[in-house]
Amino acid sequence: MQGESYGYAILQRIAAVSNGALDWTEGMLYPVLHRMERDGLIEALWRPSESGRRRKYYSISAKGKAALSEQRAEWRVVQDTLGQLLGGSHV
Amino acid sequence: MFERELAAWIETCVARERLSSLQLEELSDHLLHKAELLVAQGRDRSAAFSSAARDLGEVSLLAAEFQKVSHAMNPISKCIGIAITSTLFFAGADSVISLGIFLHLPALAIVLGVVVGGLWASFGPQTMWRTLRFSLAGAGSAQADERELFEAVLRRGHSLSWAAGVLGMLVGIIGLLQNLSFEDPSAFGSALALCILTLLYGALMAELGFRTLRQWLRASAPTRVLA
Repeated sequence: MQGESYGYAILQRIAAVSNGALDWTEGMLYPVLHRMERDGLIEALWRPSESGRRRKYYSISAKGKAALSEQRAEWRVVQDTLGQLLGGSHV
Repeated sequence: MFERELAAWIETCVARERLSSLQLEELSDHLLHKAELLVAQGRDRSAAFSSAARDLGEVSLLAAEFQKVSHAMNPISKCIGIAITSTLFFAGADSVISLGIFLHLPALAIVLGVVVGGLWASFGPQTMWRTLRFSLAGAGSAQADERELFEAVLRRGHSLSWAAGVLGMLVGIIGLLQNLSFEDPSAFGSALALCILTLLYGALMAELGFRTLRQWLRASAPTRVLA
């Protein structure tokens, strides 16, 4: 949703946001990105990086944004339900 | 900076795994980027690359996940594949012999009876139906334990198909020996047909049916990202 990014940067962002709680197998992100690209949820572009190597940058597509809105709505339902079950506080 | 280490890593990937050049390029960039950052933080060069390669994950697992992405098919592709197989097989067979010879109801009954009966007794009709539906349509929404159950059904179906073929072949041989008569050679024709065709039906059901469904099921499995 926040412009374009590449695999390693996405992993760093997730690690930062989760304070290291989400332990990723780093390489496994790439088949997921390829699957999402195949399904039209994200778009990819090869560009030179700061090191001079070619790097694949990903950005969300219109179809991806629609899917994300749907999943966000579903997640809110789960979050609210869990929050009520656990005594009113949001998890 | 890491040419030698990267070359050795790529050689391992290419020798052992079926990664495309673009997949290798993307993974190599990740590897080098991380290794360079670790060196910038003061790590030793060799240790930085080893650490980056370790964190990237087991290459064989990555290759398996990439293959799922490239092998996943939509229903139209599946139908086209089946149509090509059937058309060419029967066209080739029809050029040599009459296709009516392949239709043998007793052989079909033996194979279907053993396979369907065996699966029914082991898993029940509901699980059989769900397995067929998810294998054909893609089991992306199925939970991991349900997916394992579907795999078990298809593995069992594959085994039962071959077993049915062999059993039918043995029944046919027994019938053949029972009817063996030099005075009336035609008497053992039907037993011989049973013998051969049950094996054919069993083999087709196992390899073109259940093995294909297993491949479709595996191809639709989601990728596990969390370690």
